[in-house]
Amino acid sequence: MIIVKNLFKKFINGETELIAVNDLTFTVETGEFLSIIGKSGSGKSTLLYQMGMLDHPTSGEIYINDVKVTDLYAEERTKFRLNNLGYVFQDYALIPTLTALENVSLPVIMKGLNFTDAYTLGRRALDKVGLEKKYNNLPNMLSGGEQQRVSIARAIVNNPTILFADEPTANLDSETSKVVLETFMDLNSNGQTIVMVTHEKEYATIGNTTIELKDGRIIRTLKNN
Amino acid sequence: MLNSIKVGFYLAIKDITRASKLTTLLIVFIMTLTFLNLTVGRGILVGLPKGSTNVYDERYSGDLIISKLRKDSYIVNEQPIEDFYSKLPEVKYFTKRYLHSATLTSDYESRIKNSEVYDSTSGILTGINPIEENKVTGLSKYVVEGTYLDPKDREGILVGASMLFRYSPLDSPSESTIKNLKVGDKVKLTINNIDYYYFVRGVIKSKVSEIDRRIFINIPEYKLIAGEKDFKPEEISFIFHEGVNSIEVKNKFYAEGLHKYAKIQTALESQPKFLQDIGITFDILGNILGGIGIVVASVTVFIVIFVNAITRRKFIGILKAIGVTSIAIEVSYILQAVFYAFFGSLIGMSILYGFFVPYFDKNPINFPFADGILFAPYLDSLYRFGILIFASIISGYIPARIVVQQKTLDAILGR
Repeated sequence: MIIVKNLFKKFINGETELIAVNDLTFTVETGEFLSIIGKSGSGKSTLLYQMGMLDHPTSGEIYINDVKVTDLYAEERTKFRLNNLGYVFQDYALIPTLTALENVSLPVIMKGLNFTDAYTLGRRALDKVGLEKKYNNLPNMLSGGEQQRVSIARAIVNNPTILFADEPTANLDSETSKVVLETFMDLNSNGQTIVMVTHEKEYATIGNTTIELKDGRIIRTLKNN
Repeated sequence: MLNSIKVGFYLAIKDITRASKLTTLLIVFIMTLTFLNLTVGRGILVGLPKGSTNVYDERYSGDLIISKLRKDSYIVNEQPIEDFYSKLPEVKYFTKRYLHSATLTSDYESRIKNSEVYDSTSGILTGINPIEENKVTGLSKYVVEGTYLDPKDREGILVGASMLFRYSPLDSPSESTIKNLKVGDKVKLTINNIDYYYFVRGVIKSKVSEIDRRIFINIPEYKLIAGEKDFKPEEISFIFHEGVNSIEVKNKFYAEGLHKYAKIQTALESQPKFLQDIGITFDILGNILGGIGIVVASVTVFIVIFVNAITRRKFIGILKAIGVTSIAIEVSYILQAVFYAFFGSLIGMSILYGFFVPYFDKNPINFPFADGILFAPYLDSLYRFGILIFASIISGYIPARIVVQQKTLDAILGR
């Protein structure tokens, strides 16, 4: 579960102050699939980065599984991310010198498992996203859709409590986008909490809840069936 | 911590093995040049005085040299010394040298006016046994014109190159040289104000001043002209068998009390002070050069790793985002720096000992006072190897640390 309380994020550029996230308070329940939508500059990605502990809010509090993550130090945040969170980035963010299997297994190795066990879990995660034949391919040998599925496999390999996805379909064609979103839906149907940012409204309704942002504020909350 | 190091190793190995081979080769090549810069430049500089002391030992003093005491004109009490060293098992070869000051004149027949100055110079007439001398100092190798002295030759002499203008173009009031003298010329040798006439058989150029201002003659002839009264050697040089410690042999002479009759010195002790001073000065200069080399090496590694880390800033951000610790990332960059430095230095070592050292041994740099060698003892090179590795650890760590310390999101978004 994520609890967001009075969250602010300001950017100061010279004398100009931009409030990207403006006093947001909401909760994401365990097992929920939350879609955050909004126009470009609405603050949706900024909100995701604060919730996903990739950035520090200017003020406000975030609790993930009852841990006040806004108070954690850098190395504690890294450890917390490793054990509890998974990320899927818009541009896949794979390490180019690692194969698909190595990319996926890296968080497991970092957790302290031996290489054999880590690779076993890595293979399982890749199988789950339909990439059983691409274990040894380097990222540059994979299509955009395949890279994004490797990214998803890496995000879920450690069984994170929450999966964050930042515009995961932005660089994909509609067919591939469909496959990626189906993967998310499958994961969510198995109890995975997902927070996804998208600017494509037709994909926003695949989750249980959709919040729409404008100028850093929630302007609409939708519960989807 | 251990797990972070393990992941650091893992990332480093993958980075090195999967990075562009050309880039890796280029960086290793730069490190090889850096290592060579660290060793070869300094080695040549230090090799100059080292070469000078080497030629002094090889061509003059041998492993041990016994010479007259300062107060005497020659080794006054030679007999007990000879009795002792003739029984020493360490002695392989020895040579006695009989010295007397002399003047050599080349144009003694051509002076027309009394006001004209003879083409002459002073030197040390040195009576030697050419065979024994050659065994100890290899004197025949340094004949640059003409031939070596035949042991039966009673009419011939060898002249040191520093006495000849064409080898040592000096024209100072204190030190003159002979301008017109060729091999085969008949010259006048004046000793104790008596003139003798000899043919120049050859010219010796050894690059040791003690030799190059000497006139070599066979002992029987020396004995004849210098007189039997004071016929005692002034120097005895020794070559010992392989592995013999000169200091231990010297101590044996001392234990017998023979130092009361003559000066007993190892090769090192007998070297002129200025030669040792040059060695120390060049060593200091070499260390300064080496120090600059280390700084250059560190900056090179720093730039290489910094550029590497900066271009991969995004991936460092991603690694941090997915839970890879800063230590693991730093370790991976340090290991890469160490890899480049290690293999660069290893190749550098191979080039140094496989090419440069043998090359300079065979083709020493021709300096007026020495045969310049490349002085690169293994331990010294290993020390520099270690320094380069240490420098690469520091130079790898700092840029990695700078990049790792950036905010995760800024690194990912490249801002």
